[in-house]
Amino acid sequence: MEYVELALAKGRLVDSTLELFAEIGLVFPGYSKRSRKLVFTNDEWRVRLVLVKSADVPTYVERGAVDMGIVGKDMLLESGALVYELVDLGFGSCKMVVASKNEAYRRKVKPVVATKYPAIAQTYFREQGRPIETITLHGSVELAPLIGLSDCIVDIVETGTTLRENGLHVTEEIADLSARLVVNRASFKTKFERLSCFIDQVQAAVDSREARL
Amino acid sequence: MERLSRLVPNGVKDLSHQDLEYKQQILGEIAQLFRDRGYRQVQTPIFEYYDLFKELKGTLEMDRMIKVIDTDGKVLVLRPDATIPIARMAASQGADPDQLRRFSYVTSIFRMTDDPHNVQSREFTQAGVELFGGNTPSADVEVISLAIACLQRAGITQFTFDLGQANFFKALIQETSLADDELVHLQRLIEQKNFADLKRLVETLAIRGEVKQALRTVPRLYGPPEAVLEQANRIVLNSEMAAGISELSEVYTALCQAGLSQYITLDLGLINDLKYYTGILFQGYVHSCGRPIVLGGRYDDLSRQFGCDSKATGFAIYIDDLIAAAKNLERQNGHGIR
Repeated sequence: MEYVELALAKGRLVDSTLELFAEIGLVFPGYSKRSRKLVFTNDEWRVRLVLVKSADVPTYVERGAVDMGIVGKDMLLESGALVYELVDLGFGSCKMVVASKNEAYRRKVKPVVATKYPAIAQTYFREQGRPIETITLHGSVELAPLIGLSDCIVDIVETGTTLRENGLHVTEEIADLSARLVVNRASFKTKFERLSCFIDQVQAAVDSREARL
Repeated sequence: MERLSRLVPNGVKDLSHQDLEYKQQILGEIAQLFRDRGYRQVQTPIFEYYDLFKELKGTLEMDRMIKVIDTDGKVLVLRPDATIPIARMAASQGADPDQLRRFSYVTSIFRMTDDPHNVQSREFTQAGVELFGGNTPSADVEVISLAIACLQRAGITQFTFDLGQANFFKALIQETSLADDELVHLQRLIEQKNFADLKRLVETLAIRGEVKQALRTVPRLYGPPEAVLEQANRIVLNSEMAAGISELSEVYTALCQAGLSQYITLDLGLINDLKYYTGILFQGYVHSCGRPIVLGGRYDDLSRQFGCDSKATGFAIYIDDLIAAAKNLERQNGHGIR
């Protein structure tokens, strides 16, 4: 039987995902936090797990380089990848928001928005008929309004601590986010039995977690 | 400074003589198959009026067409689609709308896409057929069987054709009075099989409970045909939905009788381009390609817009993806086409 390939976003989703997999009996003994290995297999399940940068997961899945992926909804929205978004895994919950020092940016003709998510920012403001200019940053986005690089930011918040400590607060909520199991459209059709069996087990594990809450 | 004279623009590429010969060989096989089944090859111009495509709202992304200004100021586009010009041509021939007419094409399609991963995203080759004048399931069966035969002839062994029914979802939507933006959102979540967000959205809609249940079930109606048809029948709310399912069932049964059941799955969540498709629609997938390699279906309303109410169905094969898949298979198995 062929291996099923799954791309997992490196970073905060790894531990929660492996915990969830352990609940359905799928373990990757080769994995440890300090290891630099990027590929792990479970020969019994015939599943191969690859760790990739979260922004790349939608690309891997859409292009069919892997059959499935686990990634935050933020990356799916940003990439606009055409994939099946089958399971909301329930963890990694956070929000996509607009944040600023004050409300002054709302009065600007064309406010400057610093963000790691230029597509999400453009879509959100354009749908409301509000022209903006985006500056794409790759980290510490909160810094941009403080040093006058931008009028506001579009970013994800979990607790809001980072925002508060940098003198920013949430001014608009764009979307609720969480981790998703996504599947390549062609794989879903051509490897239907393998994948649907796996997906059903993941969904069942998520459902039983929710039932316990 | 970049030496543009040595480069080609994004989204297009040169074909070496080996690549071109390979492509011609596959195209030759497919063209022969089209002729054998009674389809006559036609050709439409590279330039068309922008208005031809603009007036058919929802069929193509207007922003993605490559536009040129004519000397009289009119906007022209480079052929962004094969079917619409052929429907225009078929309507202009003054034939009886119910007369069966079979056309095929092999042509370049142009779109202004910026897919950095795809070197042929702006100019690619499609081969396909259009069957005008047939509105019975036998016409659907004819084109689906032909699409399957094309992949077989190209040496592809592992592929799946997914069949859907546009009328099933359209008839379900008639049970609601949703605003356009709600509908767009709903449709997108169903297409993505995004069960979690769909559930949340449906709960906020002001519609009857049985319609909510049906909307949530639609994206789950996929997989082995017998089970899907049975489940679909359980959420039927009106006679149009029932008719859609019985038509799909009839087409599936005929394909089974033709010995093609191994290639067929159903997906009633296949609801893309609903403004265009009016009945059975289908997508062909091969193992190694992440996108559908064949797109097709029934589009009964199109030629009426050109003044000739001819029912129609057809399909397009993405030849460049087909060649990539065939080469991939050849590498794995060490043998060529046929």
